[in-house]
Amino acid sequence: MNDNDIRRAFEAFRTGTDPDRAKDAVKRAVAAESETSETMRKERGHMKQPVKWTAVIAAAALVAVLSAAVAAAPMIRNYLNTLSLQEDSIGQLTEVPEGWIGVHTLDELDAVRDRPTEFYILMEDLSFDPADFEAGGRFEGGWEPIGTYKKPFTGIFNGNGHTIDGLFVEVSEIPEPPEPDVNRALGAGLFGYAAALGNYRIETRTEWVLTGEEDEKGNPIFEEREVTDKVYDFEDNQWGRGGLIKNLRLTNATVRVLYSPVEFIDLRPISAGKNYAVDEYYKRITAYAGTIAGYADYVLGCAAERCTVEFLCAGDEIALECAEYYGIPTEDFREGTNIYAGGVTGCSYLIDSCFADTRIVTHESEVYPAPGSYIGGLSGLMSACVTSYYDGTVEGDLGDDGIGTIRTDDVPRILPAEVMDELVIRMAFLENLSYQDGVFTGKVYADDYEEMTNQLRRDGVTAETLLQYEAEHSPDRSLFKAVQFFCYYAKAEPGKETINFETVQNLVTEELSEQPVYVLDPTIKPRESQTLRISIKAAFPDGDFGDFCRENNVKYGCYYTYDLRADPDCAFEGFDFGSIWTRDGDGLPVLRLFR
Amino acid sequence: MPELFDFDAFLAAGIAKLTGYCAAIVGPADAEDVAQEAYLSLWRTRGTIPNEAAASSYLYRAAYHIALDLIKSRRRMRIPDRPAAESDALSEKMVNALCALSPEDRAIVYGRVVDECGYGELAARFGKSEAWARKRYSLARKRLASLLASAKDKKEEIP
Repeated sequence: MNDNDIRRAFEAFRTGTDPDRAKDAVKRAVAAESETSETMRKERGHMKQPVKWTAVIAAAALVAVLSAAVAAAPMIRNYLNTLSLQEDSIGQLTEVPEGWIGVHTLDELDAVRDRPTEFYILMEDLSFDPADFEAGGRFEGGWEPIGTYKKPFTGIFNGNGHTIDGLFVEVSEIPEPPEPDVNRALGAGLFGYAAALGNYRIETRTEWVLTGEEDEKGNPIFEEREVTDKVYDFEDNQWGRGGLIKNLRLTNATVRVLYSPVEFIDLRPISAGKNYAVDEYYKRITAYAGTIAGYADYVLGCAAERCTVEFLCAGDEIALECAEYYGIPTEDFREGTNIYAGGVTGCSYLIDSCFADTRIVTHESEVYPAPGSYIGGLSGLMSACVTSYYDGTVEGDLGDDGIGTIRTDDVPRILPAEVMDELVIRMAFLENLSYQDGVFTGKVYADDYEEMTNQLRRDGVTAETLLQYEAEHSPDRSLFKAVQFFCYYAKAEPGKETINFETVQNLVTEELSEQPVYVLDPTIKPRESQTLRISIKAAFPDGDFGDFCRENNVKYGCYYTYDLRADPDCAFEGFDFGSIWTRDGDGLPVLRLFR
Repeated sequence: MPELFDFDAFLAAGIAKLTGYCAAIVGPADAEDVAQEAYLSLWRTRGTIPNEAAASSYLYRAAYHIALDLIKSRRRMRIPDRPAAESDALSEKMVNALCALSPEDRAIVYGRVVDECGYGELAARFGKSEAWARKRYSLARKRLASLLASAKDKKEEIP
């Protein structure tokens, strides 16, 4: 591959374009706008008076949306059939699409871990033999989950309506003396860690590690060394890709995590010599366990049937051994295990159109209880969960959070109209605009158009933005476009006059029963999500956005999810029985793909 | 609104280059529309642009974001209208590989290889640092090479 090959290929992209035609179009548009501006100036005159400019009437848009919603189909448009981060198909494909890698065997499934950034599609049902996990078997000791915290699976895995039967995973995070290890997170499932992160930087840091030797006093000896690690960088996140597992069913899977409850920290020196003691001991364990994945950002249209997830404390004795080895009083130990366990995943960004009847079993340390645990039938902790249900059992010491816990420190992924309306109003206020009766207006005192422009720019909003918004907006645009507009922010570059704009978030509208509901595009970058979070916090200081949401019955991104243990007779309102689900003989929803 | 640079001359001189850049991101069918919108956006803010260099940076940044919005709205995240390649097999593979890149990667490779931008100019197109541009370009080339290699592998598998 050389640059000439690339140039030649790009020539094909230019075929059919006519720059002169584009130039003429620009000239015509410029002439038209110039004429409009001139007319506006003449009408305004030169009196110093407030200049009112209006953005598109959001009220008309809202009415339009509400009217349409009343007559709308009662289904929420799931991500499953609208957005799949690369491929829109929800049917079962018989050919491997271009750019994808077909998986036909267990060996090919195993090879996924070697190229964790690619797009894979399962073409056959696969079945593990119990002998695979026995001594001498090809997956001796259990299947190694694909992807870790340090090296996650960042591609897409499309199960394509196929089933993987008989998975067995057993992972342990037990510190064995003399080296307490410091790990960030442990993932257990078919996938260990699947995340929508595409790029990373290499970071080098200094660590103190045990040499395994002791000094004359019997204290362990440490040495300083440099460790090179991959750090996934949100700034360079590839837009909208990866960390997606869809249309996959697991049956008869067993996923087991053995964990130690005790935390040991990086052991650090307290004297100038090479012999060190420790004064605090922590090992941060964050462990995710699920069937499809321990951690996966997006899980769409997946089922876990007749599976078991076990989260068992198996480290009390070993923790005590470590204490004795280091001479640490046990009362100085601190518990700190963060456990996420679920029927589909341990933790996710979005669970959509999934089903699990997983038996979840947890066993807590007898000596050091785990303070941070999330145990849920679908997923331990999620940012959003739609049209999914759980019909299994949760047993054990670590509690039962129903279908799972929805994060309330994150931006809600699904917002009803009232909340969106209030959000827009407050954001508009921050942008020096007012919102009344569905109309956004602003007041600027200026002698002429140029001064108005300058004043708006000083206020952080430019006339260019508003003119662009006015020109583009039409009455039938829905309210989310207004929010999108207010999430453009002007950022003056130091020392320059140029004003730049960045899209900070995207919203797509969905219709839900009688009311419109706004669903956050799951492909927004983490940085955009964070910026939106900051904007919301500015608009709702002191954390009252959460209160406001609760007052308006926002479930914080959880819609149409059911826990049959709590509500065995639910009607599965909101489920799309037309294209995604169908009913089995008992009247329960089953995913059509797996019939 | 006063102009600090000659917009008409700037338009005439640069439209072909920008159209090519837009075509690399969104494909030939929408390239002219994206280029047109970008110039219009520049025109509206021309009173704040001090010189042609700043105008160029603004223009390419605007074009890139407009292109991304278009791709998002079409729900086709990464693959633009696939242009017809020459009959040459390598060219076809290269076109396919370029299509499989993300819009950002494609824009970066185009800027560096076709427009022969220095890293400083490339960075200005995205409003980033030069170090960022170097790294991103390197990653984009690696990704392109990987796509070409896997295309070759697939070819060899066919009996």
